[in-house]
Amino acid sequence: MEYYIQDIPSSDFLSIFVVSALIILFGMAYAGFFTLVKLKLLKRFYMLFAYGSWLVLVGLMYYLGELLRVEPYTQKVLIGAMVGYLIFPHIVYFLLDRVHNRFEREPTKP
Amino acid sequence: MQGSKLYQSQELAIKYFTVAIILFGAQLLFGLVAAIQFLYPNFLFNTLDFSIARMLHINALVVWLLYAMIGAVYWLLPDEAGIEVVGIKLANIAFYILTAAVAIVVLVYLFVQIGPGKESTIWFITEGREYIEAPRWADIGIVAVVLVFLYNVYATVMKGRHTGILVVLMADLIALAGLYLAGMFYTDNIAVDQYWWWWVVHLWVEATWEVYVAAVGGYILIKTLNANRKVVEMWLWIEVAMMFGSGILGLGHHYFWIGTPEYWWEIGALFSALEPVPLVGLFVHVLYDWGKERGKGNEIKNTPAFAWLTVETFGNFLGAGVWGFMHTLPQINLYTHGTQWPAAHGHLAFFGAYVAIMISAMYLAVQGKAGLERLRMTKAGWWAISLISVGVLLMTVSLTVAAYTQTMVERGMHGATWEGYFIAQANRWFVQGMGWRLAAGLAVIVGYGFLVYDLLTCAKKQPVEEGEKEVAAAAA
Repeated sequence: MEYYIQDIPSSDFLSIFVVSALIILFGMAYAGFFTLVKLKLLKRFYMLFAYGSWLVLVGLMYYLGELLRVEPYTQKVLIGAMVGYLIFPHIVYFLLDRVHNRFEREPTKP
Repeated sequence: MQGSKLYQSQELAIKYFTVAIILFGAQLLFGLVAAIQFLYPNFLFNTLDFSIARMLHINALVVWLLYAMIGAVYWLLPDEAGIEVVGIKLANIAFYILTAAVAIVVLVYLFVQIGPGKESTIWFITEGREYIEAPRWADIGIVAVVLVFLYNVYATVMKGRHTGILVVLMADLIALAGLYLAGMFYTDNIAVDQYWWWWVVHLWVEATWEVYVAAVGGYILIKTLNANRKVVEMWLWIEVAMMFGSGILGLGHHYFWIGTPEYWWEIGALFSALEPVPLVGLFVHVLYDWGKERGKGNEIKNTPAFAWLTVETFGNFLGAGVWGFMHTLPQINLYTHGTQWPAAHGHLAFFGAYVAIMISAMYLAVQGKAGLERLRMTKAGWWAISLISVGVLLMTVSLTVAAYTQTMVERGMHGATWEGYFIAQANRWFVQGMGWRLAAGLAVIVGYGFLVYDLLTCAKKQPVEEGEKEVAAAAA
């Protein structure tokens, strides 16, 4: 399937730059809140902020897809990737936790 | 305790760091000239043209980072392997050859600024490829020196301890060095030539250099925070997998407009979007370690090194992650490519990902050379880190304002025409952005002055520890 890039009106440029930056920032906010709550450095209540950030992230990603005039198929892939991203901090935290539990009791050799 | 016995390799590392910091100064100086020329095009015209100032600015960046990277390896290698570096005499000779070659190349750039582009130009003047413009004779010399370096690393690790950090570095350095070969041959077809050239530039900065930074960062964490080695090393492997997983095919975002097939749009878009993922992993890791270490009473043994490592974490995320993603997808890159967007991204990403951690490694060497148990931040050190970090961030924001103007005026309103280019260059917002960039650049240069002063003097300005006071009192 051949794909052609659609023209983007210059009135959308600013929105694209801002939304792209927000995607990374909300992505980080999700991972940050999630990790801090899991570490018990924030109350469990803040997990709402984590998943709230993820929901905003999904909305922003959908909006970016619209602004970039991506095809319906690509739009679906983008949202699918967001589901993957929902799981990502869980996996990273799980791996870290297991690694720490496995090695933390052993003496350090600087 | 003042003064300590260093490995010969670590003395060589200090030589590499010294040349690196001098070249860092040269990079800033030529960057300043180029920044002034953006505003006053006649400045030093026919004496040091913009093309040469810019070339020296970006080549000095690459060369000083490589010097610092080699230096950091020579510093940690004997410490990790537990033995002196094998072939250290050869390594010393290679250092002087490399430094002489770099000096000659810079002098040729300065004295032969214009001339015909012939076969001999490629061999003796410049190859004309951004970032790696060294002439071919120097290329061959660089390969010889790097072979000596690889011999040092491999022979030492084979003979000494095989730590996880060293094994990752061994694999990474062979890829890092091997990729340089892709930028050494010339083809008549510019698309084919660019195709291979990007292997060097992209696969260095978004794959092999990132892995290098992860390995050296792990070593610095062990040294400054007494982090658990096994945890650091296990996590290092996970980071390597994530970085190579996204970084290698992220190469596609450089193949959008150079004449390569259109499937690179999709590959480039997908893997460029994945490139911030390792940064998220790194972020979660840092948060996790910080959260777990709180309250354990682990004192930071080298505050300036740790502070620069922190700058690295945030700078990498903002520069590579946020500023990268803003303009990298092909639909918008069509309009941002060749404007100041990549410059804005490049300044913060290079600083965040590489400059900060190399300065961190230098502070580790300062502490080791002085034989200090702890190295604390001095006032000059705070001025250096504040002025340089804020300066680079302000420079990035200024360039972003200029870039946005270019995108709107030159690309959006005037359809990327030659006329549109000049209209955008004269636009008030573009000029003001460039003005602020110059001001921010001056702040960075003042910060550099503080940095050099601090690296030279901070070891002598450390407060006397309680234990040492007691020893001195007992001796008296």
